[in-house]
Amino acid sequence: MDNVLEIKNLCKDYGKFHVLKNVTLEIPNGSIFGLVGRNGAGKTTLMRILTGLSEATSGTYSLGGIKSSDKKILSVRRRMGSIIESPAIYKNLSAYDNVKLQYINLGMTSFESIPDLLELVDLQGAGKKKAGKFSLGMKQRLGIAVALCGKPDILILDEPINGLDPQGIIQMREILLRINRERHTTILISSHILEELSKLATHYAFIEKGEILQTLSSSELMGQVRKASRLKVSSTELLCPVFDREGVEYKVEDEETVDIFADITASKIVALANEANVEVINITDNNESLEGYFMNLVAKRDGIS
Amino acid sequence: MICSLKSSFYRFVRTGMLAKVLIFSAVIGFFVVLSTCTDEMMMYLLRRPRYVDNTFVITNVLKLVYVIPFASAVFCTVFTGSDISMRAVNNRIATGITRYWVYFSELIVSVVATVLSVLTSFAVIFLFAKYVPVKENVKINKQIILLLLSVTVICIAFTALFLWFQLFFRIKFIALVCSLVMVLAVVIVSPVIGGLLEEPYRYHVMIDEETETYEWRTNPYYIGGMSRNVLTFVYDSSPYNFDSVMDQDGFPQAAVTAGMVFVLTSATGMASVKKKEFL
Repeated sequence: MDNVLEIKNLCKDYGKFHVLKNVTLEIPNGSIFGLVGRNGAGKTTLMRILTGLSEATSGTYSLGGIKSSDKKILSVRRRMGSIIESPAIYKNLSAYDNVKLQYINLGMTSFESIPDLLELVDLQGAGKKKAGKFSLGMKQRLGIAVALCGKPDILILDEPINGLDPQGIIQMREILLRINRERHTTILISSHILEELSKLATHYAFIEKGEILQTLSSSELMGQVRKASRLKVSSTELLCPVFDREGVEYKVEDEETVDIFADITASKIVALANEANVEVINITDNNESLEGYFMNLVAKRDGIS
Repeated sequence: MICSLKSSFYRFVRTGMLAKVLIFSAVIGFFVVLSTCTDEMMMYLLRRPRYVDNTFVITNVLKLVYVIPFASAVFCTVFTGSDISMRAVNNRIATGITRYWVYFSELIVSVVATVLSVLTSFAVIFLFAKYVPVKENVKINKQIILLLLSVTVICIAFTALFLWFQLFFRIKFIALVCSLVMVLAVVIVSPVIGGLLEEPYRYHVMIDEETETYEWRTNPYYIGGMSRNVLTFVYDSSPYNFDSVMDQDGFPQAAVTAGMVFVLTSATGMASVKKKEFL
């Protein structure tokens, strides 16, 4: 099976408000699939539907080849782990008991693998500590451990790095990569921190106002991301007319900084600057970020509609 | 279903809720006994009572109807309410356990907690009555068993209602307040209805003091007809009408009504939770 999860024309309405509009996605097996969208774009709603916390108004999805309309979907959900919005853990239970509780939910009777699971999320030694005393990062990692109970085929994570400090973000990234590589677990992840997501994801889907704008692999994204060179010059005001005349796409950042979106050599830039009687202080690569790419997509969508 | 039930019971034990229920219920039992001693046997407050019999036990068990529902409301908030507000209930649903079984397992644990609470309090009351007085004539007989059963059924009916509130009110604190207000309302309304029903149909009024002439006048506060039937039913069904809770021969109407409330609330809860979207 190539796709662990396939979503077809999924819609979700709350009264007259359309939260999801014909969402169609295919999540390849073994991938880390980044779901990119602004607040209220429909990411959490989509994830809630996939995890059975909410029901779709129309459309279907299939998990491990089992359609959502099939009664077997309930048993297939046991092959899926999730964290939606915040880690669902009991603060008055220890880390060990939280994981054991999920083992019981899954009908598992052997609890020998719990210490290994806690070690996988760097919580070894904290098993007996009450989850209420954990830092946010530890709670998130415990949430991941709970989601990993029963060795799921797919992990659905909604904003797992939200609110984490830089060290926590790095730790979470390493854990997710380890889970993906060592356990071959497919991960569907949404995040606001797009630069961080770009360090993880192998595939992307961009969602805005309940619609999927684009899906592509990270290599396809790299090909589509606009290459940019950042110029530090004595005056952008004098340089811009020359760029306009030559048809060079650019964006002025301030009086001395300008980004050029064109496959243009440094010598050509210097030549154009000399022509405009402008001194070039330095030139650096400043390729478009994932954030910039997403914002461009949204702008194009809004322009069309 | 078994997984959900096991999970609820595991949480009940491991979070210390079971221990807390037992300790708190023992304390309730002790305070109920203390209140009866101070109310009716003031002289025995700081001394061993000279003599008690089954009436002492019955009086105390009847008082449990007042106290246990408040404790149940707090239990439902702490146990089920926090399960939902911490979103931990989602873990069960995401593993394919239906909402129906989630509700059912929470109901079973809440009922077990309530029954344990009643039994623990009763044990404290009974042990006090049996071993503390200088002389006693206390025996568990049919009357006490029926009374205990009635009190238990009334308490679990309240528990089912409180659980319903916790599952369907988004803000758990409001659910708790509604639960407590509901118990208070029933406590207050029962004697008011009792008072209305005791109003006589007519009363004797002296109209001439010199001739000492009396006249029968119709009482404007008398409630008759269908309204009286309804109020009588409500009063007899109230758990805070001790006459209806106490029945020498059978199961009292208050307990029968409570049983129906329990069945209806649970059935409604299970039917409506099917498509409930928690936080």
